[in-house]
Parts: sequence; structure tokens; C-alpha cells
Amino acid sequence: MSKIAVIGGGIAGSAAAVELARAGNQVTIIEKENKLGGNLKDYGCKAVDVCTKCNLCLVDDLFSETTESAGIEILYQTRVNDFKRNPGSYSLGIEREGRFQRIDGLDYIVLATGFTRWSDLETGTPEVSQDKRIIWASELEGLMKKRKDHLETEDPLALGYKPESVVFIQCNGSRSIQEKARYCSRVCCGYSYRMARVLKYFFPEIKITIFFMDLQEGGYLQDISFTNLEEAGINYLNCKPVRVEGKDDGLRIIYEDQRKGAVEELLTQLLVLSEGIHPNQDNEHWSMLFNLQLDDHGFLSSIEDELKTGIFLAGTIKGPKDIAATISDGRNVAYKIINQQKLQPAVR
Amino acid sequence: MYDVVFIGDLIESPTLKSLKVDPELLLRCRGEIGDFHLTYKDGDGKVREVKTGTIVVNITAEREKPLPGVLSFEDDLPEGKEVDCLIFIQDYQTISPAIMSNRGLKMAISAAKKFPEIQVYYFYRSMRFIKDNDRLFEEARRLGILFLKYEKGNLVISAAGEVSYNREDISLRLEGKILMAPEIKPAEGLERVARILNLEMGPAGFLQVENVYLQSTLSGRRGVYILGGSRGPTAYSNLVEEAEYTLNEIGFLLQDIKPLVNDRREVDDQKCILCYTCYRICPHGAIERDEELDAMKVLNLACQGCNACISHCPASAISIVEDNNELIETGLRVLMCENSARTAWERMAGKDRFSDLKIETIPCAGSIKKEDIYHYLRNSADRLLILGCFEESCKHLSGDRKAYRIVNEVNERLKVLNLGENRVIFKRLAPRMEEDLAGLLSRWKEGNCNL
Repeated sequence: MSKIAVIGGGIAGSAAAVELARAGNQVTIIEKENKLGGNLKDYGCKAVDVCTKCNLCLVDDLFSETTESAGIEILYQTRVNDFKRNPGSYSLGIEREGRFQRIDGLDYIVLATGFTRWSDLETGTPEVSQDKRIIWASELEGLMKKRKDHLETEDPLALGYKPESVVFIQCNGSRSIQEKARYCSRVCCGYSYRMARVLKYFFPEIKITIFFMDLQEGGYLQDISFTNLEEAGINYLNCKPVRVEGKDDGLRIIYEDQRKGAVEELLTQLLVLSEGIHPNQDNEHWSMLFNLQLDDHGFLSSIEDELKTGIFLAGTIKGPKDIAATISDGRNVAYKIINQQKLQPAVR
Repeated sequence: MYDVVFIGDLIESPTLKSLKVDPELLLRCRGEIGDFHLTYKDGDGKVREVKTGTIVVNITAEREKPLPGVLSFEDDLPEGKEVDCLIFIQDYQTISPAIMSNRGLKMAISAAKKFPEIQVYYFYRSMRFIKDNDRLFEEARRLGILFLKYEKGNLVISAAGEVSYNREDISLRLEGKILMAPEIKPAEGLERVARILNLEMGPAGFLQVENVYLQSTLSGRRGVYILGGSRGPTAYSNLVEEAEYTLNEIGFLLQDIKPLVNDRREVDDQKCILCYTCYRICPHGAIERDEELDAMKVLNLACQGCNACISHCPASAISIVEDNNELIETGLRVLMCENSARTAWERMAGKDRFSDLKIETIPCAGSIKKEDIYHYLRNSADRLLILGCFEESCKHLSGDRKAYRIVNEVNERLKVLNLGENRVIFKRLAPRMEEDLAGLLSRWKEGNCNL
């Protein structure tokens, strides 16, 4: 049995903690917010008449197991600001309710602090706050949650009006030098595709268009193809729009149609922007505290063998991942630790 | 005993004892997680049986070129001297899986470096990003590779191998060496392996079943994993991570394999008609034939407790055995036949004297099986009293005789095993013997076996 601190109570941290506790370890989750879940917010199921494999059901089981596990202590609203190597063990300095404390005698530390949404960063697209008809993808989620009550009304999405068309624009906060993310976040294509399908399913009369640069795989189980989109009745345009103009009758999306080689425009009443996965701003803090490699994008990787240092990275702190991959990654860290415990006790 | 047997390609692990079995030579699989028995032909044609804790199906998928006469993203680079240009084409029939973007970009980069004088074209519909594809894409563009997005109809390859690309603003006719992303198809024989391992097939002939709970490399059968090309085209995207994860999970699981459900399902071998309905219906491959008993049996470590077998069994031969660990305070349990003793009990006055006894009604004393008795004794009762009917007044003709015989056998067995004497007593009673019932219950309660 070891004493293990898991920093971050999101998907990866909880997945690791549950397995570690199940194997008899004493686990402390250090969570900066007042609840588990990290970036998940209040996501809803994306099933239409069939499951679209959003993987959310896996997560609910996970968090209830985490809070119910006898071997897991959760410290909410707690931050880690110090790390010391004592002979034979590690010690973390934490700040909780304004008081400083130490957790001593730690054998392993799992760092799983996740990512930041592009929309949460101050550098985010200013138009979103200026025009109510432009929203982030996760805001649409909130609107669709209310759909059950509003289905029969004139205002099904609780927007104050009924949109005739909805446009999704992909690659916001991704694949762009200006937005400081030259990489692809990988999850947004699948996310918007599922969201568009739900929207189409409940409101078949709404015209839906997705702008994307390159269509990504939609996760382990859902490959997205042009045929999928056509079958779902979703229009797609293989480009990123040039400009968006807010007019009284709607938003004018100006784009270059490569098929025609001409500049075209599209009128819509609701514009949904994808939210890229960005590194957390405290990654630099972790890299210095635990001696970790900060890559060009700002994500972390281990310099030394994690089994030797006893400091493990789990989940999207290392780069973009979807829900299923994040669960697997969290569990993988737990399995590595447990398998090592079988071979020899940890000596730091 | 192996930790893991790979059907297909073996992945080295420093801690797991592993074996590779050629998919074509696999003959049979029995058992469950922790104790699979695999039969296969070895190289000399001799039939062998090995035991293994887990199985990983890792069979490379077939590659199919979309057009004859072209090179694939996985072939060697051509010699550049005799061609004017190199033409890479991805997503020809449908969007290629992300691994093909990775292969194509790498190949295009090495081509551009090897033949700086030759123009490299790269036609694609969707560049997909895994691993370091972001970086490779940037590097390729810096090297002067011309990336051109196409849509259906934009790009035509003539029978003579001429590529024409037409857009409103660009028109190209190219003659050169064509390299195309191959399509990934299930390996021949994958279906046979699935049948032997009793696995469900997923779409397009791969093993990945479309179900959120079967991630990332789980098959429907506990202890059997599916990896890489056996799973499907998108499984190549995170192959390295998934292989690592799977082996770590196996190492973890094998330390202590616990059942997934608390209560067991049991097949009554007297009732089972060997129709194999349960075998076919079980989504978790948790049922096989018990050769000794000549009946089906539920594999308890594999069972996930859905009860599909119970509801589909035409012979009603499968039932739940509850491992009820709730201890009854007194540890005294009485089973009463509804045709005799139960009626007497209803008529009896002063029932509160026996409130510490756990009383249960049964349809006939003859319905009690030996296993039930052991189960009661193990889980909840110190002593058991079975009350049935008098000889020749049993509604079910021979229930009392059956019960008498079974109880004797159990007591003898318990005595041999030193587990106490007369812990189970069978007694005959008539419906109107309420006073006798009161007397025998109080004597039995006190520990008197002479009732």
C-alpha cells in the first residue's frame, strides 16, 4: 500500500484514483474547484435515435465511484504550491481555505490538471461577447438541455427567437499561429458533429452547416466521413470562413468556396464556435516544481522515466485527448503504479 | 501457464509471460479470464493445448490499393530518375484513417528530401491529425510539397495513369508516379478467430463492436482484448498507447481476478437440454459446455450478470444463486412445505415464541437441492430444519422421500468433513399438527435433535 496524491479531479485524475484506491492505496485528490469533473461542465447526452458515442455515460460512473470510494480523500478548493523530496518520500505543500498545510510521506504523485478551453482564455474571440447570436459550442449544450421544455414552443432553443439555420465553425483556437495553437485539438470535429446531429434530430427544419478545415476522426468508435454528414442532412464546407458580419437579419458568413473558386456568403441566425484545447497556464508552474518538459505548445511531458521518479502525468496535461482516451490514460498510470508495487515497494 | 497469448503479432512485455499463436493455427478456446485453454496446431502440425490468463487478438489488417498499378503509402519510395513528379493521393474512396495521413506525410517528406528536383504533389480531402502530424504537415509545406485539396469530381485518374485536377481557378494535368493511401480491410480469417473465441463482430468485418463500454481495446468477453488492425482502421491512430495500456491492464487484472457480480448463475444439469441457446445469447462469452456433467455451465469470472441466459433458456435451467452474506442473528432457518407444515404454522398460536427463527415457505420438500442446503449452511444458517409431508400424502408424490434421502446424504457428508452432526433435520408433519409443530420447534430451538 502506498500513499498517493492525485493533483486534479477531472477525468484522468479520477480514473487513476479509482483504480489506485481499488488496489488498496491511500489516495488524496487535490482539486482546485469545489467539485470534481474538470472541464466536463454540464455536458448532456448526445444520443439521437442511436448512441453517437460521446462517452459521457462512462464519465458519470467514474465520478460517482470516485466520491464513493473509501480509499479516496478529496480536498476541494485546494492548490498545490510546494513540492519537496524528503528522504524516502515526497511532500506537497498545499493551500486550503487560506491556510498552508503539508501532505507528507507520499510515494507517488499523479499530475492530472487537464487543459483550458480556448473560450476561457482572455485572448478569446471578442465577437462572442458582443453579439448574442455567436456562441461557444458548450453554450449550445446549455441551450439544448432546455429543449425538452421548449420543444412545443416558438422558441425551442431558449434563444428568444427560432433560428432558421445554424452554422458551426471548426478550428477556433486550433491550428492557428495567431491563436497560439498550431496543433489540431482533435476532439472538436467529433463534438460539433454530434451536436449537429442532435440539433438536426430534434429540429429537422433547421438548416445546419459545418465549416471545417479537415475532418478528423470522431473518437475510438465514430469515424466521421462525408457520407455520414450527408446522411445526417448536414451541409459542410471544407474551409474556414474569411469574415463574419453582424446584420439585423442575421450573421453574414463570408467564405471562399473552393468548388466554385469564388467568394460566397451565407446567412445564419446562430453561429456556434468550436473551442480548442489549450494548455493550462499553470503548466509552467508544474514544469518547474516537478522538473518536467514543457513542449512548444505548452503541454507537459516527463523528462525521466516516470516509474523511477514516481511522478506521473495523466490525461490532457500532455496534449489533446478525447474522453475515452483520457480515461484509458488515467487508468494506465494507475496500472503502471500498481504493477510496480507488485514487483518492489517504492523507495524515493 | 501464460499471462497472455497473442493471436497474431506478439508485443514484447518485460513482465508478462507471453506466447504468439498464428491465427490460422488456432483451433479452440475454452475457459475464462485467468484460465483460458487454447488449442492450436504448432509448427510441426502437432495439436497443443496451453493455458493463459488473457488473450490479445492482434492481427494486422489487410491493405488494398484503391487502383491497380499504383504504389501504396506503405511501399518503398520509387527511384526518382525516370519520373517528372510524384503524386500522393489520400482519401480517394472515402476519407482515409488518420494513420494514413501520418504515413503519407512521412513518405512525401522523405521523397521531397531525396529528390529535391522533382515536384511532389499531395492531393487530399481531409488531413487528419494524430501523433506529430501537425509538425509533419508544416515541414512538408516548408519543403515545397504542393498540397491540393480536392472534392469528388475534382480529381480524375485516367486508365493510363494521368491525373487531372480541375477547379475553377486551377487546372492541372500530371503524369508521374502515383502513390495512394491504401484502404484498410479486415484480415482474412479474422471472422474465424472471432468464432473460435466466441466474439461478436463489429461493422465492416472488424472486431470493434460499436459500444461505448467496449473501449479502448475490450472485446465483449472479459480477458480477451482486441488491438490494432483487428479492431478497425481508426484503431491505428493510438496503437502505441493502446498496446501499452492493454498490457498494463492485463498485468493489473491478473494480480487478483475478482468476479464482476456478487451472485452466481448456475445451470441445473438435470434440466439442461444442451440446446446452446445460452451460449449463443450470452453477450460476454461466459457460457460453455461442461463435458463432465454434459450440461452447459456459466463461467463466473466472465459473467457480467445481465441474466439474458436465464430469460432465454427454454428449459428454465439457469437460475441465480445469491451469495447472501447477511447473517441471520440466530442462525436458525426453517423451510416449510406449503402443503403441510405451513398450514400448521398458520393455525399455530403463539408465533412470537419463534420470532428468532427465519421461516421460509417452499412448494415441496422435494424441491430442495443439496446445493441449496450447502448454500444455506455456508451463508446464513447454523442449522436447518426442513418440514415436509408424511409418506404417501405428498402432493408431489415423492417429495418427502427425496428430501429424506438428500438430508441424510448431506449430514453424512458434513460428519465426514467434521462440520458438525445433525445440522440439517428433515421432519414430517400434517397440516393439522399445529401443536406438534410448536413442540418440535421449541425443542429444536434448544438444540435438541431428537424431535
